[in-house]
Amino acid sequence: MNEEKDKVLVKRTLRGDTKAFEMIIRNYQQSLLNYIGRMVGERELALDFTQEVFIKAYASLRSFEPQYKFSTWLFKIASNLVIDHWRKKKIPTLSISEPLTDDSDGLTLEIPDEKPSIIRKLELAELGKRIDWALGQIPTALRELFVWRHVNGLSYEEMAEIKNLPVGTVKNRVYQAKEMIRRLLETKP
Amino acid sequence: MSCLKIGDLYAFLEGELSPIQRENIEGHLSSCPRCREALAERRLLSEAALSLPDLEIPADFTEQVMAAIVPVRRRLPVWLIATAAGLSSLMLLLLVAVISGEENLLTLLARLNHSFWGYAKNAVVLGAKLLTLLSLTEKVLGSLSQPIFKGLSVLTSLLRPGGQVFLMIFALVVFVMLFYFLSKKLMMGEKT
Repeated sequence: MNEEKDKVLVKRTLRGDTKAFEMIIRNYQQSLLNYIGRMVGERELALDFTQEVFIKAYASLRSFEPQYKFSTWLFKIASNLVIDHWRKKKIPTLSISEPLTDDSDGLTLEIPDEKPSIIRKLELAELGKRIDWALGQIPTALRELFVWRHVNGLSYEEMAEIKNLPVGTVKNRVYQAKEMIRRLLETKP
Repeated sequence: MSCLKIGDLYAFLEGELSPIQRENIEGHLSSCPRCREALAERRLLSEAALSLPDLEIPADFTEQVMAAIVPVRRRLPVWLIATAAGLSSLMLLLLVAVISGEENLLTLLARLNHSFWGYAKNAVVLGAKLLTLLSLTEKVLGSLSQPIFKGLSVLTSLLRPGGQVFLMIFALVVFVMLFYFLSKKLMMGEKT
């Protein structure tokens, strides 16, 4: 998304131009739905949450500080909504500031010597479906980062800003999420 | 060189290594089939993750959201509210007069028209008088200000240097406060 264009649209919305906010919705509805849908696992619920994100954003648009990216601000609202949902449903939310494993810095390489890779055998589309399944199996905090990185294409810096964490920690968690998914795909072909 | 760490593989794939680190890893990869295999697997996984399909969004989703958003009511300017209130009161008075049957509508309008232009004439005369008064005030203040400020200058020169400095700072603070108050009152910019 174009950062400057977003800021112009925000200004226009604050001046009462509802068409400008309509454009903001059109620009972000798909990426937010992709993120929320993969976090809550139900499309209808994800649509409701996506709508709620825009309503909250509209109501608190004056509190948006233009020195930050608008997309980051929107994803932060969405992330808080998702976390609230998990809390209400009593789904364990692992804090991503806590290490998952002892070898968080140097995940060890476990490669079968002779066996052909199972992942390699799958076509990309089929693999995509399996990744969607595997995403539902990994801890929510790691899932969120994986989706931001690979589905929404956020940078590590943007994710670090949303979660208020060091960039290195975020990178490490994304690597851990990928490894978990890879192992899940290997164990459950 | 021992086999690569997972973090190195991902950093390599995402192009986040320095040229020297990259060269070292490429050197190792050229001689280690296990690490090459590991890298290829992770590359495939990353590509597949990037091609995850979009979730289907209803065609009228934007309209649904816009309908759910209650537009923030914009505050109307005071002059507009006053004008609207005045006009509606006038209409109400006219309506009451006509319904009560005391006056014919045309007669009432004619009287109203006459009164209106009478008031307008008075307002213009009053405005002209006010302008004359303002110009007189300006002349008086202009002629008075010169001896006042001269007197103040002579008086303050009798004070000790410390007192003079204090008085000047005090006057400066008063001017700054006055300027701040006026600029706040007259500010037209949008609050961000």
